[in-house]
This record gives sequence, C-alpha cells and structure tokens, in this order.
Amino acid sequence: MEPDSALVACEELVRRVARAVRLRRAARAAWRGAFWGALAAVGLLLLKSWLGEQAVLWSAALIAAAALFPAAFAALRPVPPLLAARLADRAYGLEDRLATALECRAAGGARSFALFEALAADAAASAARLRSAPSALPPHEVREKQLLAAPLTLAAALALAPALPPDPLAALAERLAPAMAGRDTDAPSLRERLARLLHPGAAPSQGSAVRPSDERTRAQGTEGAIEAPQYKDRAIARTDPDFASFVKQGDDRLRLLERTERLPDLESDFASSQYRALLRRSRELSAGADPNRLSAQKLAELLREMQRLGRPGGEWMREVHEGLDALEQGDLGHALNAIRTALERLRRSEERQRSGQELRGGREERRGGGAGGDEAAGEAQAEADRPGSYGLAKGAYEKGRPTARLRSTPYDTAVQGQRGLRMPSADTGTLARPGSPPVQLQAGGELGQYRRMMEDAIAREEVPRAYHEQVREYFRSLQER
Amino acid sequence: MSREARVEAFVGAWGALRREMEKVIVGHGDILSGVLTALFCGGHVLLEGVPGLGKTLLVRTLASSLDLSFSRIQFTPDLMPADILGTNVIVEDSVGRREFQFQPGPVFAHLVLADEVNRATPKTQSALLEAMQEASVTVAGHPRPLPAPFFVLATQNPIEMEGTYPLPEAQLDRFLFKLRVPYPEMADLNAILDRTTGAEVPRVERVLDKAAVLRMRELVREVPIASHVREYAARLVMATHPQWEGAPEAARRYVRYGASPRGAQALVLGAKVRALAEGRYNASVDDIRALALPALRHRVVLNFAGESEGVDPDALIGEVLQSVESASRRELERAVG
Repeated sequence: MEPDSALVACEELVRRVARAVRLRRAARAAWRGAFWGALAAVGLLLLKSWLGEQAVLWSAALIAAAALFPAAFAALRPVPPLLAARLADRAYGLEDRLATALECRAAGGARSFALFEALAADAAASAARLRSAPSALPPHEVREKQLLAAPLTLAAALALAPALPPDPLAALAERLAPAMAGRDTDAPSLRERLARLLHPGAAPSQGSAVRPSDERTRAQGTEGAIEAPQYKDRAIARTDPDFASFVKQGDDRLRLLERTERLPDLESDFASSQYRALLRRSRELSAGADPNRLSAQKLAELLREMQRLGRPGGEWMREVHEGLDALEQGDLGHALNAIRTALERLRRSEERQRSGQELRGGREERRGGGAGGDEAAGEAQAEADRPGSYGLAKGAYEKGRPTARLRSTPYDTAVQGQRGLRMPSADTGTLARPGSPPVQLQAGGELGQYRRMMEDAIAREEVPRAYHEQVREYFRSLQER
Repeated sequence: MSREARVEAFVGAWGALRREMEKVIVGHGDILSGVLTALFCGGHVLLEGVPGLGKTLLVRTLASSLDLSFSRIQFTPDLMPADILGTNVIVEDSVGRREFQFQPGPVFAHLVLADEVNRATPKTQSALLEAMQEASVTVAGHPRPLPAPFFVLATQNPIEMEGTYPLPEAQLDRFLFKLRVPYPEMADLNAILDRTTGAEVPRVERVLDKAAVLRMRELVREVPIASHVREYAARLVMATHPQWEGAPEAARRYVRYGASPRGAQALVLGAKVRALAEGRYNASVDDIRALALPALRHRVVLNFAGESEGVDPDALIGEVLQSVESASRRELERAVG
C-alpha cells in the first residue's frame, strides 16, 4: 500500500478530531457569549422605562448575538492537523503514531525517513481500528454555562415586570400636580420640595436653587399652600474667617518678622551669662581688698580666663592684654586697673544688650563697631542736629553719608597707616577699618605672645647664648615704642 | 531486507537476548531492558547496587549471549592506567632483534566489565574516559581504535564508600544510563535459590554477533521522532536546570547543575530503541518518560541543600517529570481552546 493512500485513514481520524475540537470551541464560545450577553441584557432591561417595550426585543437579540457570533467564529477557526493528531494520539493511546506519520509526510516522507512506509502503514492500521471510537475530547465543563441561569432568570423577570420609573419623585410630583392645581405650584417646584423633604441635607440643584426669602415670600403669598419650611443656607451660615481679616493678620505677622532684628536678644540671659562668672569673681578678688594683697597668680588666672572667653578684637580685649603685660612686668596695680576697666566695659556691654539700646542699628553695629558704635551714633546725631541736614536720616548710619556708610560695613578698609580714633598705637601696616581699635589690640596682644615665645625659646636654648641680650633688647625696644 | 523485516529482526533479536539472559538472571526486567537499550544505542551503562545482586553475573551472561569478545577488569586502588590500556614491551624476534611491541590491555574488547569502578584511583578511572567517549585509546602517542561495538558496563557499590573514589561528574556523564539494581522480590529470591543451588547449570546460547549488533545500531538511528516528542525530551532536560524559567520548585531548591545535552541524547536514542523493541516505528512521549530516570539520575548534581536533606535524585526527576507533563497538558488545552 502506498504511504499516501495508507494515511487516508489517519487523515480521516484527524478530521474527526478536528471537528470535535471546533465543536467544543464553538460550544464554549456560545456559553460564554450567552452569559455575558445575558448580563448586558439585564442592564438593557433596567432601562426599559426609557427604551420602552423594545428593550425586551433588544435584550433577546443581544443574548442571541452574543452566543452565536463567537460560536460561529470559533467553529470556523481552523484546527492544525498536527494538533488534532496529537490529541488523537493522546486520546486513543496511539503512542504518537499519527503525529509522527503526518509530520514525516510533511517533511519529505519516504525520501527523508527510511521507516516512513512502515510507520504510515502502522499508523493507518491503528487509525482504522478507531473508526467507531468515541470522541477524542472528553466533555469540558464551561463555568459560564453553570452561571448562565442567574442572569437569564433576572433578565426574564425584568422583561415581565413593568418598567421602573426613571425619577420616582418626578412621577409622584406628576401625580400630585392635578391635586395642587390652582395653588401656584408647578410640578418641577413640587418635585424640588419633595426632594428636600426626603434629603434635608442635600444642597438644592443649581437650576432650581430657591432663596429662603423668596421661599418665605411665596409661602406667605399663597394661602392654603403647603407650609414652606424655613430653610437655612448652611453654606452661608458657616463661620469661616473672612479673607480681609486673614490678610490683616498676615500683615501683622510679617511686620513682626521684619522687626526681629531690632528686638532685644531674649536668648542671652544675664543671669546665666558667662560674663557673670567673671564679674562675680572679680568682685570677690577686689571687694575692699588692697591690691597689694592679691597674688599675681590669681590675677593672671582671671586675665587668662577673660582672654579665653573674649572674642579676638572684642571691646575689652585691649584691657586684658594690657593687664597681662602689666603682670609680666610685675605691676599688680596696673593689672588690677586693667581688669576693672575691662569688667566695666563688659558690664556696660551686657546692659546695652539687655536694654536693647544697641539694637537700634541692628547687630551689624555691634559686630563692626564695638565701642565705636556709640561714638558713631553720637556723631550721626550731631550731624543730624546740624542745620542744613534736613531730610537726612537721624540714625547712626544715615543714608547719603559716604563716610558713615564706609564705616558701617565690615568689609571696608581705611587708608594704610591711618590711625585709630581713640588710642595711639603702633602702626602695624595692617589694613583695617578706620576708628576701630582691634588692630592695635591685636598688635599689643601679639607682642606679649611673641615675647613669651621668645623667653621660651631662650629657656629651651634654641637661641645662641651670645644673642640672648640682643633679642631681649629688641623686644624691650618694641615695648617702649 | 525490507525495513519491516529489519524491524522484525530487531524485535526478534531483542526477545532472544532477553530470553537467554533470563535463563540466568532472575527478575530485574528493567535492568535487562536498560542494558540492552544501551547496547543498541551504543552507550555505556553504570550498574549500581549492593554486593550479591548479580551485577557481574548479568554482564557475564550478556557477554555469553553475544558473540563478542569480553574482558573483565577488577578495579583496585593499585590499578594503573597501563593495566587497562596496555603498554609497549620489548619483544625479541626470531633473528634476535629487539623492538617495541604494543601489548593491548583488557580495554581492547567488545564488552568490557569494569567491576567496582569506584575503587580505582581517579587517574586510572580517567583512562576509561577517552575509551568510552572516543572508542579509541592513545598509548605512547599513538591512537589505537577499540573494536566496534565497544560497550562498557561498570559496576559500583553505593554503600561501601570507604577506600573508594567517587566518579567525577565528567565521567558519570559518559554513561548513557545509570541503572540501580534493586534487591530481588521474595518470589525472585526463591527462583534464584532454586537455580543456583541445584545440579542443573543453565547454558546460555550466543544469539547475536558483532555485525548484527552494528546493523541494529544503524536501524535505531533511522527511527523517526515527532517534533513534539523531541521537544518533550528537551524540556525534560531543561527542567532539571534550576535557572530555567519552567523548572519546578524542587529543581530550583535542590539542584546545582542540571543534566547535560548528553542526557537529552540518551533520552531520544533510548526512546527509539524502546520503540523498536516494542515493534513500533516511531518514538513516543511515553518512551521518553520511561527512560527519564536511568538517563538523568546521574546527570543531576545536587546542591548543598539537596545533599544535606538527602534528596533522592529519582524523586527529584519524578517531580520534574510531573511538572513537564502538566505543562505539556496545559499547553495542549490552551491550543484546543
């Protein structure tokens, strides 16, 4: 027997299986389509009041179409022969004879496979034995088939029941309208009232908003009409803050924020100030005591503590350095006077901070001027009091005065070699702000430090012995100058 | 001879060989099928079982039923590669001239029994590597082909591990099948006692010669296999790889390395032999499924978790089979729609 003719029986079996596959696909698609179509039909029937009696027809058509069209599409979908052959092999226990034979034929048949003829004959014989075999596909349960009864029953009930009214209130108002004839109440306004009676909290619709005053007027004007309740507009009655007061409060807050620079520095408490310890200690040291009874060691200790606490270039650092120098030279009286002066300056500074007097020019003044700030303020006041200064500011750093403006900023410098305003000192050649003592203070303090370093170097014998006196003489000359 | 006649001859030879072997070997039907399948595939077999189960007897019986040369090598720790492969010796001819002459080792036989192969050192074990894969050996720089058909049957004892050298994965992979020889059933044990303690000694006839074996090997390769069957074998091998997306959970947890492509070759070739032995002209998915255990169990390398939990490779491959089968069924269901 020729292989191709032998495979006829195989192809017959494969066609049978393919038909079964298409039927199964169609049935499944039909059940699923019917289920979803029935669900859609229920939705359609809910709108029967708008669609009228045609909704029933549309629903039936929808169910039928949803079942039939997918079923037809699934039935017409081709089934690959190899897939059908595999299914047949599995279903009838053919040990993949059919699929292998068909695949070998498609791949060249006897030309490519030596055993093809024998295989084809074997497959045909196996297929011929299965002519009266049951379907290759076991029955398949479709889930939608089991659930279909529910939407179908609901659709049938909706189809038999009368149409649901689209708006129950409107229907009721329509019914009441004849009874309310001649009472100045039309059906829409009646519906609105009914709606408010049913939902008192709901806001009236935009198109039918009725003001309470109008409502009252209408109620008073229509004798014997339904008594109109006094409705309160809750939206208006709410006590929300108005925008104007909010803006006003905001302005006040902003103004307060702008003034923070001029407010007293409340964070620095005098009672807990670090300077208070120095004051107390200085009082302990100098209370009614003869300066000669104080030891140089205690004075030096106090001065070093002040030096540690004070900022470099601070307003009382000059006295501290003077005191230290005096102590080194053994002049206890001069050192004690320096300490008193420093403490007095310190006390004045503290009081100024507490009283807020110094805040007039902001913190810049304190940072830049120190003691000079008072003088600058005095000069500015005198300048303002002078005739011809009309229109100029009376503050410490008035606008329009270039000199004062130069002084006000810490980045401005003076002419090289310009002397300080208050105290003569050595010209260090350093560029510094005019009128501020820190330059001299730093020079004085550094001189003492260098002298101590020089003594240490001599003690460590880092300087040749022959030059000891010469070096000391040099530092003495600096001190005298 | 027509194709059908050749297939019938194959089925006849298969049956005759089994009958001859069953004269001596009681039970162990799967082991006999596995050994014969490997013989006609052209592969080698590793027999694993406790002592006294008839592993060596099975191989000797097979050698007796085939008209092939047979040699037995007892692997011991002091066995050297030259003891297996052979060596050059100085031979003096009739005129007194001396020359080197190659003396072939026991590996130069059609049927080689490597008894207790895990007792030899790795150096000696590796001497078998080239022989098993290439069917040739190289001695003193000269490659020497081994006689065809060349069929190695190795045995090893799984419980007596002291003084043994477990076979490395590379060498295990060269065995087509690993067959586990189980303990006989009660009825089989009675039959064994009856046969081995009586006066009658069963005589095994030679039913197949070298040429017939080679012809059958050629026939095996002509058996067609459908694409979905081949794909099933490939999917089975891939499912033993933990990193493959379709691998089952057990493979992901316990496997370090999955089966090599030689595993898939063993599945397909074995399926073809099995189909012929059953008189079919095509390999089927059932054939692949039946050979999954002997073809894959020694090719799956367990990881630490698998070793520490004592995972049995057979159970693991069972899960792989189940996973692939259900995936294949799902795929078919989807195609049906």
